[in-house]
Amino acid sequence: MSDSDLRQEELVSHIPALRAFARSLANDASHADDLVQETVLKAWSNLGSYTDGTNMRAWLFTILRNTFYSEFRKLRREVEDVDGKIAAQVPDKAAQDGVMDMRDFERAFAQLAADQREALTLVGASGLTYEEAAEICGCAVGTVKSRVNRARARLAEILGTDQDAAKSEQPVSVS
Amino acid sequence: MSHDTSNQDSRQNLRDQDDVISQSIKRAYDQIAEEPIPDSLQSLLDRLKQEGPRQ
Repeated sequence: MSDSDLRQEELVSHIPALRAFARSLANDASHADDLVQETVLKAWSNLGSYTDGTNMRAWLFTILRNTFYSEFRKLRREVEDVDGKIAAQVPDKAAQDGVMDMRDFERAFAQLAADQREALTLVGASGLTYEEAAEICGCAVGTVKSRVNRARARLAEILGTDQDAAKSEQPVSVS
Repeated sequence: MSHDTSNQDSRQNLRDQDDVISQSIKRAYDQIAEEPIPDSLQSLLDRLKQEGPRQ
């Protein structure tokens, strides 16, 4: 198997993670899959410039993120979001009842700011380090930590798991 | 002391809450990652593989 075949195979193996990351950014399954397609196309075209031995997932996440924010900026220029329709839909407040219902969680997650959803997904679910997440987001490690903290506090607030906790900055236990 | 007990309870609550949120994030992420690849994306991959690498 050639190096090129190996790279293609590795790229395909990251598609599930790409889809999950895209969903956290786009908040809409159809748009998320469009983003993944766009990312795959771009990455495939540039596989020759990918350096073997580096983190391909981080590379793909960066392409996807840049694609998303580039589209977002374009859309914002085209449509003035006077009534907040482009902003995330605000669902009913979910109740916490011991075991968290996934739909409640997803609704709560959708209410987070995009940068918070992104940071939480990269660090809390994708298993990337804070350093890797910071590189993907193009910001400082401390910024990623702060976004993760704020995201977790906001989730707790929305889900009503602990109102007091929501107001305080807590150490992050995800790795 | 009751104050210490209250602080300990509060810390434990925060840890539990952290666990619930962490688990939910991972579960939501895994659910999406485990979904079958949509036909449109699969078609794109098949086409790209047929075309071969672009240098």
